Amino acid sequence: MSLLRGVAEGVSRFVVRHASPGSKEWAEGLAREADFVESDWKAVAWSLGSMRVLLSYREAPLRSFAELTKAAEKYAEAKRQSFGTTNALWISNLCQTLSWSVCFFLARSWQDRIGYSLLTLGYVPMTIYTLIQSRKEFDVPDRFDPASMIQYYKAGLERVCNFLAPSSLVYVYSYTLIFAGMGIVFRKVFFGLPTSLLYIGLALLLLQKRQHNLRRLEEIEALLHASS
Amino acid sequence: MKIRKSTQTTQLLAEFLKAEQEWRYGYDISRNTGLKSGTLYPILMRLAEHRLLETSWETNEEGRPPRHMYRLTQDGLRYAREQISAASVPTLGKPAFGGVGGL
Repeated sequence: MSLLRGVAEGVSRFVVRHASPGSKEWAEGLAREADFVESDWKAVAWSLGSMRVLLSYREAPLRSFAELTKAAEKYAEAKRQSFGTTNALWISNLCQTLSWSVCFFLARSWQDRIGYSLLTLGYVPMTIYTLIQSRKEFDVPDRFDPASMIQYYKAGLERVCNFLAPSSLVYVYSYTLIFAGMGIVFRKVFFGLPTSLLYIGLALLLLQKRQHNLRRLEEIEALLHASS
Repeated sequence: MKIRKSTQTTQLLAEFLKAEQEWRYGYDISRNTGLKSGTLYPILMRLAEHRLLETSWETNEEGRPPRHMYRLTQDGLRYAREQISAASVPTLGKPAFGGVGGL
């Protein structure tokens, strides 16, 4: 085997090893095809091109109704488990709201006052929202009712995908104010540029997550359509 | 159906329509269309996600690794025909700068 072939194989193996669960099959397909490329240079180019599948994370596809039921159960279970955290979250948000408002009154410069007021205004809706969420424990359907669990899972994904849903609006509004406030309050320390970059990074992550959820929703709809 | 309508996608669909019922290999498609692996596979993946494309592993021959094969589903064939016919209809827009002539 030539050195170039070795490189091509090495890259293909790397891609297969690191591909996300939903892309694994495709990465393996790409790796197999590299063996059929006649020229060594083209084989290297082929395997380098296959690295493209690493750029997007894909969950393992839902191929059957049984897999969908399992995914819905997992989602419902995660929601049940998260209620303890939601309680801690709203209390923590309340503490933040109170402490930032105290800081507002103690602040000496007008810039700090603006920063603290933005932080307070950002945490108030988050506190209210997380408090409401912590009271929704009984919305999770029963473990022995797969149909309701699937509907619950689907509704949850739809809600997250909808940018105009109240939850999305609360998050966007709150995080914008919180990051802007932090940028102002910690401007002399280290926060200015990193905060902006963090916000952009978070926004990109959210967009990617939304893309996953949209894919998952399409799979669910196709499976529900096939089973009806 | 939310599939990005790019010239590469149309090119790929046209390639599949050349032999509608046949299973195709990735590298062969790449050679025929000129699409690089990094362009071709994301499109194939998107088509498969929308259930327009089905995939299969070739039965293993002696000493040869199995190959991943692709074929359009019935929905995929319908979609491909629509896309190809839409792409072949010339766009009747306004000519740039009001067209030539009329001097």
